[in-house]
Amino acid sequence: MPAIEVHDLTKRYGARTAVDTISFTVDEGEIVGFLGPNGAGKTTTLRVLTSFQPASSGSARVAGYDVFSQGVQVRENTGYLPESTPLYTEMRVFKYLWYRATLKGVARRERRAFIESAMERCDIVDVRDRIIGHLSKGYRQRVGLADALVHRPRVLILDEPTAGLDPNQVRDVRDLIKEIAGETTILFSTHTIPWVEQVCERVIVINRGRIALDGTLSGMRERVAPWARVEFRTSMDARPALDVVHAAPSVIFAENLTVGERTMLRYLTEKSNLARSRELVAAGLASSGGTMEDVKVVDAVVEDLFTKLTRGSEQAVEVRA
Amino acid sequence: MSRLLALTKRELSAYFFAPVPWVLTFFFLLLTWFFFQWEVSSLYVTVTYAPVFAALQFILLFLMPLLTMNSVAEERSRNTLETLLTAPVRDWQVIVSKWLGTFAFYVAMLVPTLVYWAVLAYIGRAIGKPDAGPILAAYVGALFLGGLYIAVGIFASSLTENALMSAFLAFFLLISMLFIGVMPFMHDAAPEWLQQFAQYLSQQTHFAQFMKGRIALFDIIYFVSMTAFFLFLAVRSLESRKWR
Repeated sequence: MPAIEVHDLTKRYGARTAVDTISFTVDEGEIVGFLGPNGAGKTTTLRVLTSFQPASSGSARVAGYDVFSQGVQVRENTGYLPESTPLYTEMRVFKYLWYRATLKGVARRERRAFIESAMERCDIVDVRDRIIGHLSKGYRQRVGLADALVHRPRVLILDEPTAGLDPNQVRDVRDLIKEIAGETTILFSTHTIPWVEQVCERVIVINRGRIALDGTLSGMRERVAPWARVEFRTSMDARPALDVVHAAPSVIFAENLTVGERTMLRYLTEKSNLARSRELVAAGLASSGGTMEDVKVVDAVVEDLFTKLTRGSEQAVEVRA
Repeated sequence: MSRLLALTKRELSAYFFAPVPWVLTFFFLLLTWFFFQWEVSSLYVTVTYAPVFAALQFILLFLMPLLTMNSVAEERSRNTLETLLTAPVRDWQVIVSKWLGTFAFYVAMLVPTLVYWAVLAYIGRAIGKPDAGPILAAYVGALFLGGLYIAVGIFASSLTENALMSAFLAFFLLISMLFIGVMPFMHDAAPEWLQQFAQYLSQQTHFAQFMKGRIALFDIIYFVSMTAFFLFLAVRSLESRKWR
């Protein structure tokens, strides 16, 4: 039985469709990165899965329970870390976890042991008697995580667990997730690829409320393997220069990287077409009176695919699938 | 049950950890003491402290909206509502526990006023003992009245994430309820049934009975049903996230 099953889920807020008929499943024990730019519908989906908000249509089951009709059972079996980790800042760490464990139905005789092991896991034993509001952001994040897993849920849902953390703290959260991997099913959302690459294999990319990709990182790597990434500077303005690049037939995807004065563009192309695309782009730019300088060619990486899948028309235009 | 208890305990402890409830308690005792000593120092002979209770309904009019303003609004503004409601608790448990926690704090605020009874007993040695019946009835009325005000306050708090807005709204609701009973008398043209209904809706009508020393089922039903009604509205308002 899959741990999370989402079927044709749609969530509308008034006229706006935040999530549009998405379907996916997560198997027991799997770790999945839920990836997408801000506003793509990640938080909305996770809120439906924790039965905080119902879907407009479609269905979802978590740990075998229907999120709409069996909300309490779903929440009993789910540990959820909401975005930005809201906590009762006036409470002390241990007291807070005691309160949360009680709410989540951990039996009294097991409660202390469950809390101790959650605190050990999240490395917050040394701050157990501190007031949450006096803790650093990294510690608070770990208190939130300890809360999410204190009742030993079957499914862990983490919304942007590393947002706003410094690199060391990000590493701590990553190690923690790796440690509990295997025992628990984990679905976490993020908007950065490199982090996902360090934690798990499977990713679901969501963009504008729709699933843009559901697959493995190795699958994504395979997909970008035949691609090359070309970066160059030009004397032209970004907008017309992008139009020229798009007009070249072998360009998969182009975007504007300009920072400061000089226009800088990047485009993806098939390696087999690399030389031809460079010629065509250079010729196109030249005919508009522009130059093509500082050309750098490197292998495309997974992040390029992610950018291609999730960038809207405001900065870049997808040319060919 | 253990969940409701855990929620209520947290609610109550939140009152003890925040500064506002302490300030409110201070003013509450100061004002009731003022009315008590005013009564005692005036020359007529007394065996109850009715003026304290008469003042109470107006003191609570200001105090309860301020005491309850944070109950849901703060959870909303701090986003802890999401953490709370994604634990396996039901919406009604959250609202009821907030009511219970606040009510417990209110009872703790009332307890020191029992000193007035002792004072009355002490100075009353010359003029007769305090009359336990009416005093107790007034306390029972004060509990019902406070319970209703708390429910109105929590409902107002559930509508917004701005605490001051919540306090203002609760105050507006309470004062409207209070005056609706008086309004129709200004217009004798209003039909009899409307006047009676408006009077029934006003907490003043019912609290007055308790102050007279009468504990009637009719008035208890009023307080219990109105309290339940506002708590029901608060639960619905919490649920509104689901159909937005």
